[in-house]
Amino acid sequence: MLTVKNCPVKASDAELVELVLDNSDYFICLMERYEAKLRRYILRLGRFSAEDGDDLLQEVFIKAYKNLRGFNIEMSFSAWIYRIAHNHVISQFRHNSARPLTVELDTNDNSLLATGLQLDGRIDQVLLAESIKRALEKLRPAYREILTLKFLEDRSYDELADILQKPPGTIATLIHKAKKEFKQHWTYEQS
Amino acid sequence: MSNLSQSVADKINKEQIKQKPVWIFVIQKIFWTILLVLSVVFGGVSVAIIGFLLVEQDWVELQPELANRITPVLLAIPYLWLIIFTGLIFLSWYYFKHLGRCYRQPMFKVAAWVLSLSLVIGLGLLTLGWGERVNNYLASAVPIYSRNFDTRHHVWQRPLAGYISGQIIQLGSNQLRLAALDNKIWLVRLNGDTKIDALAILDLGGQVRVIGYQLAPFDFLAKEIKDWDCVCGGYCERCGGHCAGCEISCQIKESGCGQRKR
Repeated sequence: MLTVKNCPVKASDAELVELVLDNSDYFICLMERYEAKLRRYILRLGRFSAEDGDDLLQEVFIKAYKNLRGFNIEMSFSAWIYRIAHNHVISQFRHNSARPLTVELDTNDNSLLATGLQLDGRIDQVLLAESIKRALEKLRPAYREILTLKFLEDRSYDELADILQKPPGTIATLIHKAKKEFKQHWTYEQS
Repeated sequence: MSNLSQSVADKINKEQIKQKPVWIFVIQKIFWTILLVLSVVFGGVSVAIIGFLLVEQDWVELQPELANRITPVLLAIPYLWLIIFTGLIFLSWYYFKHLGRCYRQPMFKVAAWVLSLSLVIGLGLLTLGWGERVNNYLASAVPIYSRNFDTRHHVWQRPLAGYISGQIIQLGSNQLRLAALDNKIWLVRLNGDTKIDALAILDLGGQVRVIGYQLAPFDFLAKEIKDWDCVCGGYCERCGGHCAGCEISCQIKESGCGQRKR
């Protein structure tokens, strides 16, 4: 059985996918590459415990493995697996018939959002973190999600179009509206 | 190696989880393509029926009213088919989104393509007479359709505006009784000025259109009586198509008739 030590570090995602299709043992290399990123993404999307997050991530990887032959080589593997994670988390919300009302952010997330959304960073860091958290919680889920993907997950517009399965123009509009709404809530929280 | 990746790899090996074969994804693609093609074709059929229902209206007879009021036009619009057509455009867009990376195309662009394609198919079908065929089939097979969704019936069921139609159930020398399309019985009076179109056969069971005035509830004075099906140069429903009998009688009356041609 393959171990992560044997994983071709320099291989691109597409090359790794080709390898997995020939020898499924290589799937561990893909998982290793995306484990941390997807865990963080899942936890940012919903208020899951670390255990629940890992359970979801495990299901996401198994889903990805089963559907790997349906992966469209035209799109990036990263967008494809994020799409699977996105769908899985959304269906989890539907299953629980509720979306999380609270948001968990760490210090790094706060500074990423503050930079991305061009928020005034001169204010007290604790206050800034608190106001960002509250503003995010007030955002509608679709807006919260797109800001998370854009500024915390650092996904490109092109990838966002593939993850959310929307035209790039719609993605740009969504980001613009989400930023606007976020700033309104943030300004209100500041005052 | 992290625990999670390892445990997933172990689970895949232990439970012998298999990747779905390629043919499943090919079939999925074919499935969405078939649905897309069907919705575009049905969109074309809807256009053909919309076209037929608009063309078959008796615009010549309605012209005097049209000079003052827009009501006949509003009644002639086949709303049901317009709703179906709009729904089919949305369905086409939904099916299209499932093909590869087609979700990246803006909705209005896809809708414009589907609309154009449906219009081309629809106009072709209309020319070939399929709008008429499907509409007549629905009218005969689904009674609720002809009662509620045949726009020509709506236009000819307005006694206050001077238009009624129905089946002759009783004949007198200067009057007749008509079972209107809404099954109500009307007394239709004829006088010396009443024009009876040569194509209208005033027989029991005959279907006619009457233009005139409502004198009282269920009492109508006929100014003009015309056959329901047979119009000059037109399609004869009673004869079951463009049959010779109907066409010959239409040809006889062709001169000076100036009616619609289909």
